[in-house]
Amino acid sequence: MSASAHNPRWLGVYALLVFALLYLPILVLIVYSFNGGGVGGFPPHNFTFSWYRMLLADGAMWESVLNSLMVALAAMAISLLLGIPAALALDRASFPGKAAFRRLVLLPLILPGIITGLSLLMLFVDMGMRLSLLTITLGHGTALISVATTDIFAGLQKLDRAQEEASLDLGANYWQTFWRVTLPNLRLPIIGAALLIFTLSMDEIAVSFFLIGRDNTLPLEIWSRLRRGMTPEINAISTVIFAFSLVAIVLWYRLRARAEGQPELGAELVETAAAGS
Amino acid sequence: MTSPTTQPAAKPQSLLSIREVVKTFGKLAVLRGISLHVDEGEFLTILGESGSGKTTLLRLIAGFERADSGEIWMGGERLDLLPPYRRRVNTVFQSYALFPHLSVRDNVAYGLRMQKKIAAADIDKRVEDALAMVKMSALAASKPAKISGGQQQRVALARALVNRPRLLLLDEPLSALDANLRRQMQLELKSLQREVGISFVFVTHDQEEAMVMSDRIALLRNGSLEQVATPREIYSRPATSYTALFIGHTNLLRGHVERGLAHCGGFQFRTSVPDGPAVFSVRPEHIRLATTTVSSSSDSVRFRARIVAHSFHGATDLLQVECADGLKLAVRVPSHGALSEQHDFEFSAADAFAVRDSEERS
Repeated sequence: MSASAHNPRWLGVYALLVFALLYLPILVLIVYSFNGGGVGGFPPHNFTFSWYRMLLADGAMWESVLNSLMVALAAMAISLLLGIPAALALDRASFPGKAAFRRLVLLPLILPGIITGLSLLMLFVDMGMRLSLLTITLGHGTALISVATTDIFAGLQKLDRAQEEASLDLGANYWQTFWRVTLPNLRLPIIGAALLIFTLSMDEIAVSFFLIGRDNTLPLEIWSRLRRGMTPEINAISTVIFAFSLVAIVLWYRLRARAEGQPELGAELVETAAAGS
Repeated sequence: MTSPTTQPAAKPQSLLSIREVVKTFGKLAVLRGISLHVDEGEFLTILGESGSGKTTLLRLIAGFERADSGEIWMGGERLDLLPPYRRRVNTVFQSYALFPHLSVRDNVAYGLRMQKKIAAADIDKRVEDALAMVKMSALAASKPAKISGGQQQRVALARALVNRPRLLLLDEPLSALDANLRRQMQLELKSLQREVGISFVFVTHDQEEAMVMSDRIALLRNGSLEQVATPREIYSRPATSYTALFIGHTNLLRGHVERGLAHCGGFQFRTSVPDGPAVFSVRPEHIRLATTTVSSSSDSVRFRARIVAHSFHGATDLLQVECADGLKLAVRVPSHGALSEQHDFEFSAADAFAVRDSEERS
């Protein structure tokens, strides 16, 4: 296709540059995780898996990964269990201060992590709780309720209320209707919120920093090691995390594409045939 | 089976009885004291413009709304005190409201599975029968998003009827279909209703649809019932000028009656209406081209008018004519070639039907 006023070639070049700006640092990180010469030196040379071998044998690192996974899963459960009823209340109930609640629920996400972390620290200290993975979990769980609430509220707003009425009409009571119609229709927003909460918790550093006890989460482990100097082992663990994120994103998109799939071609033909018979 | 035009020997049993139902949303009065009954096996249409309250009335029967006052009874039981899931009433929604996460088969089985006393084998059998009834057996495993609008409509119908409700509510179920499919579905729905013998309450804004399908039409206007009658009666004996205008086309002649003689603009004719102001409805098809030079009968009203518009509608032509005093009338005549600009027309005084004047809408 020739370049025209409506299809300027420079815009494509520009887009490529932006894309490079976004992904070049990650590419560099990945390349140097296989670099025999360590993090320094250009061009990279001596392709090696030795940093990955070192990573595999690194007990402290894996412990922090396990800690992070536990924190993220627990935070996910807390924020969903509290966020789903909150979203339902926002969508259906009328109560005093509803408008304010709707705006304020997002605040923990907008506030700098330092403020959230500091305030949670003061709360836990006042309550006499020892700082541990539990305090981090509670911190993540409460801060991320906002994500669960807003995502699921958006899903509820898109839900066709006639479906719930149809369920009641067909003899299902309110509770059965919630389990059989409302919740299955919220599957995508709930999975989406869960994935987002999981990733946000996995790489959260500011709030965790204030609430950390003896056990490190993965980001804090990496951060503390960086203070002792950069090693390609960190590149290696970062590459592993990146690969996992990539897989999660691809899965999410496929799930969504399947759920929002187009009507099958040929449905109209069958309809015409049925009308003719 | 008795045809709807003949009088049944015994008075049909009343199934649903709506008594003095009032419903307001905030300050807006949506239903202003509706009393209406539906007979066993009857096809009743609630006809009205958007905002007339027809959907609200349906939702009250289904149980999705609560009336401010009044009662709804079904078979000796206060229906309006029951939650929607305890009413032996099922609904076909305007949007169909099929469950997108369930297959066509599971959609239809939903209601039966909610009843604890039905064996799984009976459920399967009844679901298959219901799908066959609406010719959807072939697509039983499909998800609703993968079938067309007309097919979704059939599934919604099967999903409601499979529960064998005493009353089926239909909220403009045909409005999303294109004209041809819609006409076909009107006839199918009507014959299906005769077949299953369940009372239907059908909501529509389309008067033609109401005429084709209903045993009786309840015309709703601004939250009040304007008239409840059979299609034939509501057409030939409209109670009000609003009814006459809404059901089919008509010409309204306003004037007054003096000693048995109506004076409406340039027209004068005998009438049995008592003296005073009066409104008469004259259907366009009741006005004919005068062929003889003198009135064909003593009660015919004859006038000369100018044809201002002439449109072809297949079997008939629709004329817009203007009388000497400026009054414009619609005239429907059998298809006709070109007509001269001025023509003589006539109608029988008996076809000028006196109607109650509906107060002008604000």
